[in-house]
Amino acid sequence: MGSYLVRRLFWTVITIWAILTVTYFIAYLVPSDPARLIAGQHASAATLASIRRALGLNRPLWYRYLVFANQFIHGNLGYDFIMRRTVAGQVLQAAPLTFYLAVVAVCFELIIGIPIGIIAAVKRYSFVDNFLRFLSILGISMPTYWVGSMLLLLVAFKLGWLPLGGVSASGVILPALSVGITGSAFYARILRSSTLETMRMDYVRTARAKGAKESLVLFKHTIRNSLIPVITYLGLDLGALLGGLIVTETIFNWSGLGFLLNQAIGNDDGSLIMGVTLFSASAIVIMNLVVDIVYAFLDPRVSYS
Amino acid sequence: MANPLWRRWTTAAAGVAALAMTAAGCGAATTTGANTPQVLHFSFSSNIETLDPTQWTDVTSMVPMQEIYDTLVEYNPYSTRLQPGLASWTVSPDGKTYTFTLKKDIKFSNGDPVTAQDVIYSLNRVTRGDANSSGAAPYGFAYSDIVGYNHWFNGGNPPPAGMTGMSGLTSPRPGVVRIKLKTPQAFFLNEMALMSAAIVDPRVVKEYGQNYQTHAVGTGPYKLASWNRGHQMVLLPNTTSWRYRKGEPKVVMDENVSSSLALLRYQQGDYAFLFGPLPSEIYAKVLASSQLKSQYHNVVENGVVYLAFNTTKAPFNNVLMRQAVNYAINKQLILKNITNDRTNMMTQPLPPGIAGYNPSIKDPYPYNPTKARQLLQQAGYHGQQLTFIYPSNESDHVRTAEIIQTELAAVGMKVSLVGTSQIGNYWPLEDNPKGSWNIAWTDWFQDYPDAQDFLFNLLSRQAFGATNVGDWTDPQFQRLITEADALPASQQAQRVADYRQAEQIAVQKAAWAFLYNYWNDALVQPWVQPQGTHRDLMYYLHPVKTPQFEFMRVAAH
Repeated sequence: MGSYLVRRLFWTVITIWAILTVTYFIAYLVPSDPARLIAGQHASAATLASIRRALGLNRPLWYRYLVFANQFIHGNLGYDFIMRRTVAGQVLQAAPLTFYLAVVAVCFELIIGIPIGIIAAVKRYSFVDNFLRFLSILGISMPTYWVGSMLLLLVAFKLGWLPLGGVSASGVILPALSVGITGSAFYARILRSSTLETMRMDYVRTARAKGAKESLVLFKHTIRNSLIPVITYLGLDLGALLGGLIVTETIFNWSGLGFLLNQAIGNDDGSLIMGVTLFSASAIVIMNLVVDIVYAFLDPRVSYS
Repeated sequence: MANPLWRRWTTAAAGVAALAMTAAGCGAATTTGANTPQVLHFSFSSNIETLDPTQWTDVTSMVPMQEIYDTLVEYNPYSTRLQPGLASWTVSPDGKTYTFTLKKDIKFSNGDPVTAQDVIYSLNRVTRGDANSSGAAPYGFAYSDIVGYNHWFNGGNPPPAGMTGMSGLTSPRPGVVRIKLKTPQAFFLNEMALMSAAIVDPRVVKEYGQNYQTHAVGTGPYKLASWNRGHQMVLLPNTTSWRYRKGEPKVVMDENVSSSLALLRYQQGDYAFLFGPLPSEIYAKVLASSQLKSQYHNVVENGVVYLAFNTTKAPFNNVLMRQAVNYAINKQLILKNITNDRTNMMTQPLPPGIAGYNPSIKDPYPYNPTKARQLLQQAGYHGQQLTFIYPSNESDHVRTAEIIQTELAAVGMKVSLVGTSQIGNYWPLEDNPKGSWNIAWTDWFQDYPDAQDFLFNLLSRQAFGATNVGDWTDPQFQRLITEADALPASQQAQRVADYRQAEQIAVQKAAWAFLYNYWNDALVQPWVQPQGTHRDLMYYLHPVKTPQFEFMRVAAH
């Protein structure tokens, strides 16, 4: 276990370094001049030159890359071009909001997805199963931006039950629900197939043979075991949500990381794009690591010798 | 989000909301009592970038800054005429010395009195920036004709001991500021009315340093109540201001709200206006609703949208090539399909609202693909690949760029599109590490309504590598604008004649491919009403100023 951890940590660091390098050079490929971004279109040549000097933009690319990497190691992501605030500060301000939204969204996914998955498995091949499977295909097929827009229009605008976007305690419901509706379908499908698989296991047959009640068989013996792939997916899903709620956050004006990234891309704000990307990518990589470790504790059959 | 279904839903929902609002109207009317402050709530689709005059570059930031700060000179609330702001002025006969006398007993909103030294401090600061503005003072160059500018600008940061500012800025006695210029300038007073010339409180700047932005203090009719950067800014009436008008509403501005969401909030009656210019998909929704149409307002602005050519190398160093592009583009088609005929076709570098605009130039390059092909042949163009760099941050721009690409292809030009984040964010020509572009989508919005702001900045040799995006130049053009720029305001007729002639040259030599003039539009709720004698919608769509909240009142609704 110890050497496994060391190996995994080593590759985590390598992955983050690779992300840093690729993002840095992709950001450079975009035809963009940070000095012009800062100074605005009306600036004179002398002003532009003084900004380039101040930011070190007159240095060669490899030198700037090394400076950036060195800053990153020290937890410093520099300043954004437009508002000249620290990137780390903005990321840390946005991250809790995204985390909050992601957790509520995952709860919605589970609340919707788990019952559907179980019912579909128990009533397999029946009309109910077919109907629920149809619903989950519909859920997977509907883009989040469409579901989000519809929820905004119907629930917030027409009915006026919830706020029209923005960050507030009740404002989290609609964005989380729109992620929940589309994301729950994955959970339902995973749980249905793993439940069906578990139901064929010997220990389930044994439980039935010894006369256990059907509900006990289902909840104690079957579902507990079929939840393992759900938990695996949950970890990856949470990691992905932390980095990938750009569309939802933008539609609902929820000022988390995705919202920040969307703004940064719109402004071609290289240092902010770098900062958010690195943070989100690190979140995904670290969540992967956590899932692998948790997995080992959950399932005694998994060993990492 | 721009799918047809969404549009239909919105239109249907708008009707329902209108009914609901009518039903709820009676109950809501009582909420705006005499003592509860009225609120103007609206949003921007981007950030408010700054409240610091040294960092100011954009219209969005100007909205709160115009209300928080004062300048020595300001525009009349109803016209483009300049009038005394914080100070009245006299000009010396040679047009080189301006003497400003400050209004008496003016105080910042924190109670500090405004002195001549504060004015001098503010102007010195914006000329070069200070340690807190990371070396950037985008509008510093606007004051480069003040005596002592070069010495001060190149003095280093922080400046050496003993250097306190430009020698051309003095205060001969308390309450008086004297500014000496190197040459006379007709537009100097316009530059003094820019947001960059706003008067700041030196004590507050020094006290808060890096955090000045969220503690900004001025003498304007509003004061900053709170600013959660990137999210929301709140302004409250500054009752001690000389510009304060009794009954001013509180102003709440949301940042970074998409226009679709903003429209819903507007329709719900939460937002007082929908801040323009409206994207074409929003305008389509306005056209589809008679209620919204009745709340829609539009003006053509002093701004231009054009294609600049890289004239530092072949093929666009050849005038025939530039003319060919002008003939090849169907401007009417772009006006109709992209701007929905909300603005004018551009016929020359200056927009119609600027003195110097030459009304005798009418559509100099009518759409004529045959002529374009002939010119290409004469120019010896044989299908070499050309790069067209354009802003891909807005869907309207992408569509326009694609139309242009198709039209140029139709006359035999091979053009590849390269998207960039926003207009003006291009590789500089002077030290371009990645190979050059050939055509660049460019725009300009007035700093002040004077021909010099357009022709000097966009087409003079002095602006090479910066605002003269393609380094276009012409000796006769250069001579004319240099002469006109240096004439004092008393010789305005001669200036206008010179600029008109210069316009003729820029058009003949096809300095740019001319597209259209900028416009501004807005949806304004019927319950937002002008205060006192304010006519029409000047309080909202002023040709130079941003919305003047001090002239707006919120009626019961």
